[in-house]
Amino acid sequence: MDNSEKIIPIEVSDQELVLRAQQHDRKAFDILMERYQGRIYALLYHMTSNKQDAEDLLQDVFLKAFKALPKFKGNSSFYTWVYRIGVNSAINFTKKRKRKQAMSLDDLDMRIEHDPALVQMSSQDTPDRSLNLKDLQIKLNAALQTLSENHRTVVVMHDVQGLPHHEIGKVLGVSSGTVRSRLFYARRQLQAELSELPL
Amino acid sequence: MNNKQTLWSHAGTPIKDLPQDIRIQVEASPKLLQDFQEQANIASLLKLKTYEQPDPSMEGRVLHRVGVRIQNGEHLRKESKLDALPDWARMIAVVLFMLTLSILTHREMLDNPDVEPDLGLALGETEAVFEGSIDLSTPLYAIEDPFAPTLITVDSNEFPNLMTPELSKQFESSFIELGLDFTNRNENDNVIPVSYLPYR
Repeated sequence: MDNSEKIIPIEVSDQELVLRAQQHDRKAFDILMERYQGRIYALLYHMTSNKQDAEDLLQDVFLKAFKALPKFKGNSSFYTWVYRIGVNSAINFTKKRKRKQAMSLDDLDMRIEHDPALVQMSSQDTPDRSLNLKDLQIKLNAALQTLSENHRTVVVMHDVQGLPHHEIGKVLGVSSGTVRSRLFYARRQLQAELSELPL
Repeated sequence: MNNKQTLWSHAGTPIKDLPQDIRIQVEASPKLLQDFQEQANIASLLKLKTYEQPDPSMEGRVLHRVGVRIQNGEHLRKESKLDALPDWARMIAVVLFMLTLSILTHREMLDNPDVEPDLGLALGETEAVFEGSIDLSTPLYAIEDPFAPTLITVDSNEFPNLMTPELSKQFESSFIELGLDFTNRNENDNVIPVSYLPYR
C-alpha cells in the first residue's frame, strides 16, 4: 500500500504527521492542513477583512510551510509555527496594499443574535441608534482596518482569537508588556471609531 | 499596583471576572472604572467577529489548490527577496541600482572631468598592443617632391597674367607631375583621381 492509500487515524499527533510529511508523505501534510486551515484562515480574514485575499493568503501560507517543512526542527508546535507564518504573511500583505482594499466579508452565523454582548447592546439601542447586524459587521471591520498592522495583529490575536498575552509575545517577538500596551491603545482607537454604537 | 498598571494589566477583562482585590481597586475609582468598561466593551464587541464564518466550500478549495501548486513545483521556485519589500523600498532599490550603474560607466569622467570619457576603457576593454615596429625614417615613395613650388620667372615688375597660355601650360605640367591630368578630364566624373606617384 503506497502512502496515498494509507489511512492515517485521526488521533495521530502533529509531531508524527510532521515527521511523515518530512519524509514526503503528502497525505500527512494534507491532514495537517485540514486541522489548522480554519484557524489560520480566520487570522488572515480578520487581518484583511477580505475573504478572497484571506483565501489566497491561506494557500500561500501552506505553500510556504510545505517548502520550509524540511527545516522545521520541532522547537515549537507545528500550529504555532504555521500560525507565525500566517501572521507574517498577513502583515506583509497589508503593508504592501497601496490603498484601502474594498472589504469582502464572510457571512454571519445567526447564533450571534443570542450572544450576551449583542443582547446587552441591543437593549441599549434607541430609535436613533438602532442596531443592524450587517451594519455592525461593516462598522467593526472598517474600524479594524483603521488600525496599524501592529495594533490590528494584537487585537485579532487576543480579542478575536483568544490567545494569551505571552503567546502573542512569542509569535511577534515582543514582550508581554508591549502586547498589553498595544492592546490598550488599539482598543482606545477602536472606541473612538465606534463611538456612535450603543456601547 | 497603581491605576495605570492595573488598567494595562487587566484591561479587556470584564469587571465581574477580575480578581477580588483588582475589582475593589477599579470600583473605587470612577475614572478607572470608566476606562475598564470601555476596554471591556470593545473586547466583547471584537469577540462577535468569531461569528463570521467562511463559505463551507472554502476549505476543500484551498486543499485542492495547494495540492495543484505543489504538484506544479511552485514550492521549488526561489522567491525574490525584493517581493517582501514594500513598493517604496523596491523603487529605492531600483533607483540605487541605476545610480550605481551610471557611476560605474562614468567612473573615468568623474576621475578626469576635463577629459572625455573613454567608454571602452570604462567598460573594461583593453587596448590592442602592436607587436611589430614601424620604420618611419624611409618614406614609401622616395621621389622628387611633387609638391615643390613651380617657379615662374617674369621679365618685368608687372604682375604677370596667370591666365596666359604659356603660364597655363606650366601649371598643367605641374599638375601632370602630381598625376593630375586635366587634359583628358571626363566632365561627368565627380571624382578626381589623386595619385602621389610621379607621372611618367
